[in-house]
Amino acid sequence: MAGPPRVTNPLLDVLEVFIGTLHSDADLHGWAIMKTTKRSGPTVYGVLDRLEDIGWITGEWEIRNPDPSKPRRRFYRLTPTGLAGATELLRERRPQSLRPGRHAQAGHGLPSWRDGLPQGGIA
Amino acid sequence: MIAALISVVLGLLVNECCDVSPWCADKLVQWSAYRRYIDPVRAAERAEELAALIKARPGKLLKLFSAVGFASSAILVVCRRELDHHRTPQERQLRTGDNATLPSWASLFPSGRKVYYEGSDPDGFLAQIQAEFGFNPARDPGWAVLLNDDDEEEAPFFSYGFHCPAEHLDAIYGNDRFPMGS
Repeated sequence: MAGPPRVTNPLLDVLEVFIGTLHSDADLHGWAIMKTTKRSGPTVYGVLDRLEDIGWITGEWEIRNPDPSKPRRRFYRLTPTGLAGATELLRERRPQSLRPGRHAQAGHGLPSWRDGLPQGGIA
Repeated sequence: MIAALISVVLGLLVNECCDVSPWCADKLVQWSAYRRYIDPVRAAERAEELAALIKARPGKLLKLFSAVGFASSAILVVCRRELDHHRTPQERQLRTGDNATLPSWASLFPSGRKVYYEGSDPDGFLAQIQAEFGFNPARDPGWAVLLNDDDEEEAPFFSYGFHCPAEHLDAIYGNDRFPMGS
């Protein structure tokens, strides 16, 4: 399995967020990841680029924002390869982040976009 | 009178700047995306995404500061890409750590190369090379040559040089297995 080209703290932070929201209803977009990791936009998007490039995450647009006055957002989720790779990487580098109790906490407070979606789902 | 006029004009200017800053932020962040990403599809996606992200930020000036952050990052990426463009393929591979396609030592030195054993156990090295590669470096006249024998300032030492055949260069010289020099 191909790993990320360069393992950095921001990359691990972002992966922690993805793993943390696996069992919650929250969906991740760039702003939510920035808020959770407390990392700057360019840093987070640099990590997202790298993860997308190696096929660990995929992005999907919502059809429209639940708040009609706001533009639509792009949501990210781990691919099966990404899930296996991220779990392996975090187990090696940050084993404490994989404790069951932390999963529920990490996704807490992140917005769920499904509530505002029309029946057609995402584009 | 003039002071009052100036303060009114300044107030209007500041107000105008604050109103213009979200528009500037939107343009700037989209410009950044199209500079940062070569792939037009990804650039378009990111431009829309970052514009949405900027709109979600509270405050007019914060929007602009965020956009400036993305623009600075994009400029850095563009500069790095330009520098990379002027590197040779070998330099690029060394920089990225991708050694898979680097030329082999055998291809660089098709008739072999004079190399030097720099370790502290030349006899052990000899035995290992003979057992594994089937040739004897000690037959080379450059093996176990005493240097600095008549130099009063520096201590004499043995040099263990030998001609390494091309077919063994990568195994003996081109890795960290043996302490070698050239």
